[in-house]
Amino acid sequence: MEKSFSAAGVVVGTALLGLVILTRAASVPVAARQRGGGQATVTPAPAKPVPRTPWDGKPDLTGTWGGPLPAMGTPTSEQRASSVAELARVYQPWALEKSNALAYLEDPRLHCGPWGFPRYIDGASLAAPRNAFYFLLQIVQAPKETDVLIEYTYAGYRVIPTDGSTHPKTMTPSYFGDSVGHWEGDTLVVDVKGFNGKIWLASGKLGTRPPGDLGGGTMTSDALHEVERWRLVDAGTLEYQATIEDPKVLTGPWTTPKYRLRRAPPGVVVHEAVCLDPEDLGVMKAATKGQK
Amino acid sequence: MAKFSSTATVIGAALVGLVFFAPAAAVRIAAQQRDAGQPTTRSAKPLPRTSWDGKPDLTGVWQGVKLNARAYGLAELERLYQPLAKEKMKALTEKDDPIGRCVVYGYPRRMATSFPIQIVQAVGAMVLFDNRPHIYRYIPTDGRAHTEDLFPSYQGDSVGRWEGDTLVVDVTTFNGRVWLAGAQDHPTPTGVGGWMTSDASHLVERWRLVDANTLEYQATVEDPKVLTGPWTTPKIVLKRSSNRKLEDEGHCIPEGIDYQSPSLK
Amino acid sequence: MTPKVFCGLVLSLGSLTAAMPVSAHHSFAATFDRDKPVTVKAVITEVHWENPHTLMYVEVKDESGHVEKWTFESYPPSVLYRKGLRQNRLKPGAEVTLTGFAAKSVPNWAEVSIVAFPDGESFCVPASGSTSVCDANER
Repeated sequence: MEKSFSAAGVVVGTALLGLVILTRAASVPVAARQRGGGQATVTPAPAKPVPRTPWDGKPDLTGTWGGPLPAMGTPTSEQRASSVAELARVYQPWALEKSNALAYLEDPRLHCGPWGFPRYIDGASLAAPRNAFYFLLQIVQAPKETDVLIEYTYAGYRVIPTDGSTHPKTMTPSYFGDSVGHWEGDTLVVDVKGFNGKIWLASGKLGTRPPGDLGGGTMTSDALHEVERWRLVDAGTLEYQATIEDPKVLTGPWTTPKYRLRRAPPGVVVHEAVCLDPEDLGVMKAATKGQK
Repeated sequence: MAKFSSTATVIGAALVGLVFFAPAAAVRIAAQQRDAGQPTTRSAKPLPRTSWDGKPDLTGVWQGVKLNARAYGLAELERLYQPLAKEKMKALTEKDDPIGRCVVYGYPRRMATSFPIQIVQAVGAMVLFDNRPHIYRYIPTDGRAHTEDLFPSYQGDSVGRWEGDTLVVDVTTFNGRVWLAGAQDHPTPTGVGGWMTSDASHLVERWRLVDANTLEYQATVEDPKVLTGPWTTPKIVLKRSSNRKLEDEGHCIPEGIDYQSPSLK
Repeated sequence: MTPKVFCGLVLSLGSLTAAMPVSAHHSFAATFDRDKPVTVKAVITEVHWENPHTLMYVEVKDESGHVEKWTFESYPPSVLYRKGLRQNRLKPGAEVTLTGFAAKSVPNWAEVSIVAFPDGESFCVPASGSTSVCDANER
């Protein structure tokens, strides 16, 4: 009896062997597609695994994100709408009223000030293909820090230590706040505080918004505290989500939807973006003469 | 049976002595070398190096001192200005200084100030961070060529390559709006007013770690529209700061701009 | 001399008004007039590569030889760069056809939606963010 192979064993063995052969075969057409080979295949390519840094094996967020490719559709417009509705619900009524009373032209981003986070990510995720060249995010990851270069808030940047540093005892209030990061598995968790109270969480009025009304802005205070979660879904997709607390203006925490950004095409990088040199101010004033 | 041979004892004692006394001796040698103005080499802490390519790691916050005209080599620079440019420059005063309207200092001027800069060294790139005013400067270090047809900018287009342990950075495509020094930096009482540059400026920088806590910077500027020949700065030394990051300096507000962000108070 | 002021601790109250420079495509509605479309065939005299708007100074010559100066504003330099509109083409002496919308209150000032070159290459760069004005042009 021992000399005969059990039928079940043969079946299982063949199945396993088949699985091995098939998965290896599946990886070949993917490679051909990535090379630009014109294979007519309907099998979706398995996503490329996330690149990892050689010094600690963590996902490497280095690269330029956002760009002219169609937005990923994450979040959906329903998710956005419900997220904004939730934000309106957690706003303290007096702060909501003040925010909604702001004029469009008071937006810091229209005066060379930053969008800030998470608002910038929201913009990046919304950008239509032709306008997406604005909302790039370039990340540079090093052994002790992960740094973010933000062109379209004019030369903004964030230095995020990942070496166990904690927030300094005194922090000069700033638009981007003071960030410290640590890894939880493959997610970079960033704690941000020390804001100057001048960034907006979103554009426009919360609640009913008359069509064509560009006014309003969701203001924050210097008590703003954000916890962000950054992770690579795959080699070409960056995901971001933030939980916001601001005891001076909100009644409770608010969490953004999950945002996904594509890796920009090769060669796309952020450049220097200085704004505004008052030498050009005279020109700008002339252009906006008479405008309110 | 444990029995120590006398030879072994002597050798052992010698080794123990070496272990205990050599470091102290090394420190004394190092001190003597420093006092003699020699770079501490053999016995000094080795340079921090990146794990992926073994190059000196310039990551950190670096603090310089404000260099006066003499320390910055401005007498030589003044001699190099073309006569026509010199006439224009004499009419410039502090109120024309671009840093007065929140324009960046630019390089090499930035390295002659007492405001710290922050550097991060990553695979294939080095990034400089600045808070006076807020700006980043991205420098690829993989020896690539300049960006084709890039628009002119205040800090120009930088490309770096390693020559041994020195990072050599070549910078072109300037917009010509930064100065090389301040209007009050006269090499002589009758010296020039504004140290202009042009969009033909070409900068070559040499970044070097002398030791773990000392960064040395030197730059050569050529500018065929304003200078008759190249100007090389003295070697500029920055020391490592214990700060983890730069302190935020707020939003620079140039004169003539009266915008202030609304805030809830 | 009062150079810049670094206002790390400046706090301001409430709202404000100022005729301020505005940036990017979101300023379109406030600055430009959809009912005043403009198309000119021109020669570039200067390009100011600056934020928030790259400025193209051009000269437009009409049939009688009369020359008019116009200023067209566009995206930040880095955005134009990534779209492919660069110094090698957009430079003094270049002949261009610019299509856009005139400013509401400043004469001879417009935003440019389409930058077209004699060889047929054209770039879609509408300040309004609405690309319907240049559907026929792909970049």
